[in-house]
Amino acid sequence: MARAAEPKTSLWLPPERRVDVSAVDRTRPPPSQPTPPPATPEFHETVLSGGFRVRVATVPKLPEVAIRLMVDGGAAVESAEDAGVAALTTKVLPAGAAGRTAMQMAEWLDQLGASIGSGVGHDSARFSLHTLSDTCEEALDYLASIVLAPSFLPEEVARVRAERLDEVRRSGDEPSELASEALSEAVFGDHPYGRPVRGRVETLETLDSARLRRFWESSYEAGSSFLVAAGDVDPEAFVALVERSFGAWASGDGRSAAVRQPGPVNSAGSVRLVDRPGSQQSEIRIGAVGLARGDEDEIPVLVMNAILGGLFSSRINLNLREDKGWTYGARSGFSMRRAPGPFVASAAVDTAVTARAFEEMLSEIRSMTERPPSEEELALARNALILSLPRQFETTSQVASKEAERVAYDLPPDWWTRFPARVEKVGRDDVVRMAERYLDPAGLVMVAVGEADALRADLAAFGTVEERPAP
Amino acid sequence: MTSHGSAAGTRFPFEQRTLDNGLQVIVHPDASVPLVATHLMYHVGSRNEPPGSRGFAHLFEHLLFQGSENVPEGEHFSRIQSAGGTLNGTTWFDRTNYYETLPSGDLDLALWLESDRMGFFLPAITQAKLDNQRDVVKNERRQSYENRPYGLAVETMLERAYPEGHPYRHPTIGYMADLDGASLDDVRQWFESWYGPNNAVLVISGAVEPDDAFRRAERWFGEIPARPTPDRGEVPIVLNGKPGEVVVPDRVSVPRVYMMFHAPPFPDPGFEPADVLCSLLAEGRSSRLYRALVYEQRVAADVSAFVWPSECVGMLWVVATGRPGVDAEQLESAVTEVLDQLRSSGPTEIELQGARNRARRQLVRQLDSVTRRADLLAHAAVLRGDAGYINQVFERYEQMPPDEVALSARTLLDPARRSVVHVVPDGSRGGAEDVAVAAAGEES
Repeated sequence: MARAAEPKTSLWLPPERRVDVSAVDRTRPPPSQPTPPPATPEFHETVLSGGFRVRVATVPKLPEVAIRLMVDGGAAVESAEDAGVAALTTKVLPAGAAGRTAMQMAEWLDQLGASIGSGVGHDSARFSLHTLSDTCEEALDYLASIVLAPSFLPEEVARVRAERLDEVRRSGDEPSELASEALSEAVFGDHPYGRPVRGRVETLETLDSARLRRFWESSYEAGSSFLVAAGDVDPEAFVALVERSFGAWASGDGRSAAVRQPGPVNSAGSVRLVDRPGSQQSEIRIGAVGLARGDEDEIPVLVMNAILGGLFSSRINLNLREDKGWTYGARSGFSMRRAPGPFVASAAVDTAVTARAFEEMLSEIRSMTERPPSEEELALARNALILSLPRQFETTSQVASKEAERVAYDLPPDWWTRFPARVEKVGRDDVVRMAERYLDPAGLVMVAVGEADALRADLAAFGTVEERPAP
Repeated sequence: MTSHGSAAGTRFPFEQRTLDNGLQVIVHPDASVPLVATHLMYHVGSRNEPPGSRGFAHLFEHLLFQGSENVPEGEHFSRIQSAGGTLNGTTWFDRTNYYETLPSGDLDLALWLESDRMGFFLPAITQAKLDNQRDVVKNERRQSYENRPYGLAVETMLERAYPEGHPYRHPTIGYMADLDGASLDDVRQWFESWYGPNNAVLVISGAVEPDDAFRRAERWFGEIPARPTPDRGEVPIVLNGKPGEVVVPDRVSVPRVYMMFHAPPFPDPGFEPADVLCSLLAEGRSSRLYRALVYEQRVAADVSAFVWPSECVGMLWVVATGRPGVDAEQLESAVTEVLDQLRSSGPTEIELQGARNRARRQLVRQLDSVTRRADLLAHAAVLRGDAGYINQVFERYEQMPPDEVALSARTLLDPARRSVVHVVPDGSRGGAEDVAVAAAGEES
């Protein structure tokens, strides 16, 4: 049982120093004190002889360096029959390079203690290297080996391909993955954005060493690639290290050209239902074609989405979670790419309320034009976007990632310094205009993954239900 | 903060004071970014739940975001987000934490919100809020556990590895029937028992001046009275696992084997060697399990090994996901063979060096954020009774004698300490056999 508290005396706060607590007004939020502006790390650019750009910023907090190498070799430049080649290439590169076997490469990296991650999007391939400053030189050598001198040994290609095939098949176990994939396909059809970046079984099975090498030769070239580093480094000394490891990298013929055209909406007004018997919930999605990164509508769309579904306190989540309790969370977002990417609203909801959840989500989407945002909503959205900037640039890894993203999308160097003023300017009419432009009910498609027997009849109210079994 | 090129030289200055009401306040100043992180950790978690209330600590955490006497419903989130901040709360076996990261000029906002719910929560709670958040939590259970592949493995393991009545025997998310039974009375009682200032640690980390931060903490929290000291109860030490395995059929395409070994908890000196042991078992492609199971034998698609930093009894997990066509028994014996070999011959010096290098790099990355530093300071203060751990941790890893890891391998990986769960395809994900044949064909 509970015992009485022992009286505690503070050695640190003698009574006379204690603040009068009656001074605290709890009935309203306390005013903000001035916050100093964030120190913006300055990036220095050097272009190596092959046209390879290197951008470095000193962030002297901790003995670490965050490096991003971006290559213009994303999934959108693949042909349909090569689907998945971009992602598979990044996985094969470390499996043997510069005269070392796959296992020797792994031992090298693991011994250093550095970490490397690769990610492929539709627009580019990205290698993220994290290392302590005292192992930076060797870590760069490792990175250069896998990017410049991969072996593409047939047995290693077969092994990595088999691993990827396993992964693709396993992804069918995840209802949220099934929903996202079905939505991309519904929104973009045959456009490259309609395909999953990791590829599908049919095409992956055909990718061999020769085709991977061909993709690497055409996409991995110095002129369209760049490296960003932030951390405990001296820019000049760092560039000298990069020069030593990447100096021989040559420019290609500039062949790779990413898609710039928006895709069609294939099935507006239809509902794709993926039957997954035994599901405890339905994964639901509403999608449409959105806009490209750097589009002049980007900033007003961010404000509009923050009101609709980009924040915890946005309309969709307040309705479906905080009012109805139908879900653990509901949200919306625009994925902006070189060409217009998707708008997606999503939630995992109780099976029994699936159709009503769609109805509420649609009604919140319509509400963006029918019920213009209040001053409070606008202020919340603008503040959340502007005042969160210091948080997004806190760590060396964040600083490197943000800069890599800015350069990859050709955003101007003053993008982030101008960002607050541009957000401030977005008014109620702009928000309504963005909703009219990007949330046209006629362009929306719907996807549900769940127990089809329980959903089929109700979902017919929204359009033609196109049903298929989960893989 | 100083940096000498070696992680071991890294120091994070902090000061601590205890208010008269027992609230322990820790301030870590770092002016390199204009941010402040606050982290309020209560020393209560799912292990303190009475029988029939499994999941209540977490449900209660949800309710604490639904407003308090001076904070209207919904404003906890909107106020923080409107200041450009981020916030969350989590519940675990031993502790429940609430944290926010904001521009440094908004420290008072975080302290206002946290102190209002610590001191003035009960007047604002209603049956409607309880019902709503109960529904949200049940949907969280469906989304993150029941409807997720392998989602029930951990709770199955806890039920198997701990005896009836043991405080660690159930998952923090709890069970539907227990959640249904939660009442407003339970809410009041939980709050009164566990949410006093003398059962909490407040960490303030970021661009603040320590004296000023202590003054503000005193202003907002000083008037909240201490509560009777809660009795956290006993947690029996468990060293032996259960032989055999539990088989859980699931809607998955390949099997996964979970092994859990009773291991040293976070405050124990054996914790870091166990962590290094996990790193050399399964971190990186040259690690023992990855090399043997994924690369050489090709029976696993993936392997992982990790220790949970719990307070009273620890858990070391080894998890292997099979490739198509490989059954759980085959996978389990492949894992066991690797573990047995490590037990008998011990790690090599070069393996150890790699594992230590990875650990110190990860620590540096983790601690490159005022939020994560606040998190570690709070965990160390609450679970170890020593916030200073943040400045010892690098040395703990860098100067770890090889013997400690070898001993750790011999002792902890003893099959007698182990419990096993197999999650296997229930047949609904069709074509698993065909897949195996196809995969074998294209590899040749």
